[in-house]
Amino acid sequence: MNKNVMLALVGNPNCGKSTLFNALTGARQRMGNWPGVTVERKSGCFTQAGKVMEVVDLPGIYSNLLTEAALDERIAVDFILAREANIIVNIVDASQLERHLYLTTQLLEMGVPLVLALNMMDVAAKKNIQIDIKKLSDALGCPVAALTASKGGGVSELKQMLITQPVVARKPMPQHAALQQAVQALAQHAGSEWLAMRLLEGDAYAERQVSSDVLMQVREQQALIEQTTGEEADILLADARYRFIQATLAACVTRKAEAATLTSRLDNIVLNRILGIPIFFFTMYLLFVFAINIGGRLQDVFDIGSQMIFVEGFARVLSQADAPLWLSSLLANGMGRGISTTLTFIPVLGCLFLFLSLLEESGYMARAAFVIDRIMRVLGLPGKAFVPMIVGFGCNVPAVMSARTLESKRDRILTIMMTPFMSCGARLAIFAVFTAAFFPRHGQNIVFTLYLIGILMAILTGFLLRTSILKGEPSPLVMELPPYRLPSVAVLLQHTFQRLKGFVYRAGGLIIPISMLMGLLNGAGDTQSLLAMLGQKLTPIFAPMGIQTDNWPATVGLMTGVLAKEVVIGTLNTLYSQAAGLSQHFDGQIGAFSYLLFVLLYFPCVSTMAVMMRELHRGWTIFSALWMTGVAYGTAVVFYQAATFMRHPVSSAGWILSVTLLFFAVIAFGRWYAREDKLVSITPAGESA
Amino acid sequence: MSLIDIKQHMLRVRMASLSSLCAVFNAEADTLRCMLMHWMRKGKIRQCGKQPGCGSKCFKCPAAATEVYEWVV
Repeated sequence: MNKNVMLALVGNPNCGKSTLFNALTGARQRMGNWPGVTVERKSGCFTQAGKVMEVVDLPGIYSNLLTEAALDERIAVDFILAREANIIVNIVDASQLERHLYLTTQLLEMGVPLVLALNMMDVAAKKNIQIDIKKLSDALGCPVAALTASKGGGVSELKQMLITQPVVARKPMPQHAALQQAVQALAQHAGSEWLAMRLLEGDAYAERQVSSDVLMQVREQQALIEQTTGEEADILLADARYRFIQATLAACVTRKAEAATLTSRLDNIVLNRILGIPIFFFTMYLLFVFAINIGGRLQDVFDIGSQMIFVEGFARVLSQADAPLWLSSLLANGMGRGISTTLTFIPVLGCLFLFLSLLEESGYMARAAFVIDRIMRVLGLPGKAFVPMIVGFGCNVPAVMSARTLESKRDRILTIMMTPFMSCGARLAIFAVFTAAFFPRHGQNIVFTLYLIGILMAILTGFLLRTSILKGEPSPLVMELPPYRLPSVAVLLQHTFQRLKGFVYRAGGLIIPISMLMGLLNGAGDTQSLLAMLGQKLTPIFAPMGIQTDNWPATVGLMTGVLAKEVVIGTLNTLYSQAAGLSQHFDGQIGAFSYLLFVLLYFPCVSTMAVMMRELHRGWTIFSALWMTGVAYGTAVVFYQAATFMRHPVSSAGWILSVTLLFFAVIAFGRWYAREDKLVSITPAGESA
Repeated sequence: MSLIDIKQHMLRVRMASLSSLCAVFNAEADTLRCMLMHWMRKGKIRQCGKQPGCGSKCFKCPAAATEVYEWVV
């Protein structure tokens, strides 16, 4: 076959090269081996106006013509640099022009015959991106075709363009004066300005093309440029490309202004000085109304269904098979109940994650940090700390991690000390079960109150640290707000599913074995079992917060909850099944709320502890665990004793007074310790400044 | 936004998450990753964030929030 013109399809991965290849060549494509390498490439041909055009589909190049790239990328790069193709068709994703045009600028520098194919114009249109094709063509100095290759849109126009339009590319990048001088000086020896630029960038391909004398001149020019500009030549070249792209896009691309106007209108309300904070709390309240009311109703369905299958079903099968009692305890009461407990978390946490995803995707969460910043600043706390704290609503582990983004060491320590007080998804799972049992009506108010107490305790902790051990000025919150957008249902569901799946897998991985252990240790309900003895020995410690001696499973639940908070429910479900339900073991609503307060505030889970250990010194982690548990105990005791004051006024007054005095004693000790300036010398791991 | 702008910003803040850089420069995450790559190749910026699927008990972390970059002094 007589092949008149060779076209090479070049672009970043996932820009639609293969789709265009198929659209151009139709059924006439074939597979062949690239000479000298074992990596396959695609080639095909089509005829346009009597000319046979061979099309070569090259592997995607990740934004840079680097000859040290990975093997598949290198094949593409070598092919382009060898200048075998008559025309390079550079395919770019029109919806992500800023990123894709970098490769285009490099191709333009080469001076190869170039046609730019703007693919995915439909996606760009959906994103409200309007591209002036004529202006773009003028700015780049090469023909530009608009395509929706997946639907065949614009393909025949592109074919026509390849035949009729003169394909001339120019080198448009305005460079730094020092760089221009160096390029001109080197071009005389290297043969072309393009090769001179590649040499200055330190490109291995270019260095192979010139003699050692020229290379010495390159090194001299590189040193001169760095001396003159303070930047290395390759950075200046890349910087010029990005500046050129910015200028080109500013001239040729417009985004519809409606979104920005809507954003500013919404921000006038959401960030309002008076309304901002009530709107934030109302939004959080809606979150719990949604999670507890909608998720809570579905929770019953999950609970009954999973109990029937995994607990009663297992028990029936085992009894029919005359299985021994220990096996029944292990499988039905242990594993079955563990699976059942894990499954009952799905509706409430699904609702929480869905709502959180909606808030994050819509752009509201960034505003929440701004709103809370005002309160934080009044207390001398860094507003930016609230960003990790908001992340903590999902899970404390990434929240502690994201404290890394704070600039000052003090602010980072402070934020990590505050973050574990934020009530995570695991704690919501516990609250949901307790509210269903003790607060069947208005459960969302109880959960909302607990969340608020968590936030208040976090702020109190931050304030106390700021005024004692961690004195210093907070960094201001400098953050641009992203525009609001309506997230797609598919994206929300995908995010929710990912979070939920991760949670259920990890929670199940802990709850099921622990439930099995509990089931086995507890035997067939023998109250003298090892577990019962251990629980009964420790329970008196919790008596001031309303846990009676016979409620030893609550103590065991707190111990296993250190592994992961949601394990509390798995443990209670397994242990209470031997006797009666949850509601009969606590001192009514007061006892239950006191227990929830303790669960909210005590000891961070081991995953959070591990990440705190990694981010900070061990001393801070131990301090956090002790401080949190102390605050939890004090808060739960004060609440319980105050709520039951009339039953035993003397002992209640004694407890409240003791806790209050101890609290002030700890604060006084902290201030005394701060004067000694010991704790601030602890340097977080990885701290280099 | 250019490479020098990113350098100046990173010199000022020293550490930044990808999501905060996206907000500051009003750019998409992938575009910024490509730009940061230039500095990473030069050893000026290093990624110190935790990757998605960190092994914690929660869920897959939102990548842009935990993808943290640090200017190497």
